[in-house]
Amino acid sequence: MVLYYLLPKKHRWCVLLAASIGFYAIVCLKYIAFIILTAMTTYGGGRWLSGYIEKTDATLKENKKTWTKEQKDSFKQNVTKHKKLICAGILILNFGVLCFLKYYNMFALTFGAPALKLFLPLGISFYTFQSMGYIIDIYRKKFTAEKNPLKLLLFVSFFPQIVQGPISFYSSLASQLYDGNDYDFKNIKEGVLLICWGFFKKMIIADRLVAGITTITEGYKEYSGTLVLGAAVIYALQLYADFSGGVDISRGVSQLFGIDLAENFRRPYFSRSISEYWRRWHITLGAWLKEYLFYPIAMSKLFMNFSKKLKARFGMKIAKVLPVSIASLITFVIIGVWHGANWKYAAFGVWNGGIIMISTLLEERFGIIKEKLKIKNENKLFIAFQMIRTFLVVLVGYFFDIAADFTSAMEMMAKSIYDLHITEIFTRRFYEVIGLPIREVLLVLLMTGVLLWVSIWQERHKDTTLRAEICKKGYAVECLVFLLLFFSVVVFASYGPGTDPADFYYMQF
Amino acid sequence: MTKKRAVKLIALFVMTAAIYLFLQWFLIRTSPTTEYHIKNFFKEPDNSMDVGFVGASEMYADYSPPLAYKKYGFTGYNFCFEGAPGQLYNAMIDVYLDHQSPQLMVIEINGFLYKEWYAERDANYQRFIDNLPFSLRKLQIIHDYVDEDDRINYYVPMVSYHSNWKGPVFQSGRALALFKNSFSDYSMTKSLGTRSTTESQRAVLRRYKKKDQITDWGLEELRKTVAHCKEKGIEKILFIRAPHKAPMPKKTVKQIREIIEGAGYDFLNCERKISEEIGIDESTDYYNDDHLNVLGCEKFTDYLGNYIMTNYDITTDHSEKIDKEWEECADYTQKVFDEIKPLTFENEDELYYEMNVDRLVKKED
Repeated sequence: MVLYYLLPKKHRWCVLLAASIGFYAIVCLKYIAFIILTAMTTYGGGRWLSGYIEKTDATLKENKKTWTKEQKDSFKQNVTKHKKLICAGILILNFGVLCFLKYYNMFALTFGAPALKLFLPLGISFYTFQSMGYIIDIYRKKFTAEKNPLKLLLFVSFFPQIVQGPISFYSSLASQLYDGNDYDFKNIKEGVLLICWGFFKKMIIADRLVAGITTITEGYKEYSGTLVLGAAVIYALQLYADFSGGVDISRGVSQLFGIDLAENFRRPYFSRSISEYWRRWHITLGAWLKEYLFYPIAMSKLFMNFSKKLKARFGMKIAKVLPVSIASLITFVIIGVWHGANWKYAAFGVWNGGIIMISTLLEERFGIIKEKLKIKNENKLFIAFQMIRTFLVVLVGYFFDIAADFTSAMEMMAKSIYDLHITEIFTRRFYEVIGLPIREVLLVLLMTGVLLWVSIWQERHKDTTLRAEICKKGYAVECLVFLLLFFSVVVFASYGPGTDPADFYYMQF
Repeated sequence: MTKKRAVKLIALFVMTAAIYLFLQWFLIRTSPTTEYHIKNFFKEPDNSMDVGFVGASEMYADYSPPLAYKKYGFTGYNFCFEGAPGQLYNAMIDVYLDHQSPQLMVIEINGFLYKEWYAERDANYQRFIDNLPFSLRKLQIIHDYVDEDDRINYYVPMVSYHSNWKGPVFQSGRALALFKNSFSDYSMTKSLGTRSTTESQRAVLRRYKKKDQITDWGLEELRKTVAHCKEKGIEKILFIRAPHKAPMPKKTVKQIREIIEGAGYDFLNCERKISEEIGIDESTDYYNDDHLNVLGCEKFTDYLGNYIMTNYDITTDHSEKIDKEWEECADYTQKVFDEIKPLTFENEDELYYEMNVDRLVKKED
């Protein structure tokens, strides 16, 4: 970091590149070829595509006056076809590598083909999505391709986000990476606080809960429905603390260099609907899929024609809502499958997409019921009801996540209902099975209370961040908060022999 | 960066480092007796010990250096800790000889009789290494005994202890006692650990059986220790087996004796018949099967002290200051023993060690 700010602005990106390559080499040297391959194909493909676009645009411009409309249309059609071919080629190559590594064994197991010993290079999903977004944006003429291959390598491999995102758009990240950011002590302070907060969530809360979840999910047949449901609820907390904590660390590290990475979470468990939840959870993946998958599907000729046919047969409303819902369902199935090479993840996508589809289709009816019952949207009880309802829907989805396969997920869900004994949570055995002695339970409750308080504060102050407000209060408060966070992690975090704090849940995706 | 900001940053860094160091000290939890037995060894004046004692809990339970000094005039410190395993004896001897030049080393062999899994437990290493003050020797011991992947736990003890501390009340009590201990210039009991009972009800880890044969691991570690002592040029070593209710099998005694005496060192087995010579009464002089209580300790101290003075040419010339200190320690320890004796007959079954015997003596005063 010191070197970054000591170098002239135009060379500062070199420090980031060296750090990124160094980081990847330390963590995942064996598979560094994959990220370099992605960077090379993205660079080469981007340059080729961009060059082709520039060349054809120039030809069109040169012949603007001499060509007839038919000649121009034919040329444009030809260019679009070629562009699509180039773009598709790059996408197929890169997504092909990702899909092969990620899904080959799932299909092999399903169709009886021999399984292969495959591995997933660190961050392959994240950097592939980010790189392919760049290619699609060039295709869409949002910008021209980066000329410096090393700079593009930096965009693909930027170290704070390589482990588990966030997935950034080139348009928002490139200039921050390449232009060299001014030293601002405010960024350092806020970055450090964000890093500490990330470690707080990840190492004090999330890591402490992993063992219990694993114990119950692996042997769910031996445990009561209360414990199985308990595991799902704990998983909701663990997953959020792990993933958002990890992203906070990434964003904090970036902020030390003056780089503002996209926000990936906005207190998702406060969502009032499942659509809102997906706008608050893993925001950058949602944004990527919306931009490069949902809109292209919803706006495709096929869907437009489908909409027209629906309009003629069922009227305007259905024609508007149904194609969008189907596009949304497809997107969610892909989100599900992105999570892993297992049919349970497809079910996870169908569940979420299906709920959104049904909600969209029945939105008007719900509105009428609400009106009849005289329920106002601002009613606090109604808001609480919506939040709990949304959480329960999300929780059902989590069963697909924690179960080994689809059948286990269904059995676990059933067990959580027919074998539920609420009083069991007051027994010692409950906490023995989840692997938390009473002292640890109290600690998790206390720390989750802190997380909840911060979330509520942030929810009420959307125009600022808590760390920015802390930094405005002066040296004493800054130091106090830093020391409290830092030493909470040092004393209460789960690290040391037998633990792996560098193991983030979303790394596997 | 402005000068003011730099000062603020340095202040924050200093604060963080200070709190960290405090917490690292505060949260350590080994065992109370071990902590004082090891830490207080380093308070003793250099080269003030006539005889060096190394071993496991048998040593500090069964033998009292101040009482031996009172009767026989030689000084010595029990550099030992509970569960001290055989493989650490070399390191313990090295540490002893870094600070003292004893005329005779006495080594209790219990550490070689453990099973390997028991001896290799992390807790054994932590008890010893984490209570050593920072020094090149400590770094050397970490390097020699700890796997590369685990060394971080010893260089930065917080890694181990942040999840192992007992609770604020226990840790505060420990911290307060250590703080109090830091004001003393030397150990008053030269490491004492006993229980005030004739038959302790306290559950003791007994997953290994003492009457089992010594394992190949134990024999190998004993050979290494003997070889190490030879390499260091130590001429006089008395290996002892302290009194135990269940004696070692004859084959084990034979194997041990062969290794020790084969190297030209002495072996004194205080089990079986020798116990009769000492005058130990099994019904009153043990606090459990393996350790003597204060009654037995007095008898064994007298026996071993006499044995050492009879069989080895120990000179007891000390400076006036050393003698004065040791006389004070001997009187103090005698008072402690006198107070614990009736409690032993009452079967109070409390643990007494360097840091909690003060109240007994003060009560008497």
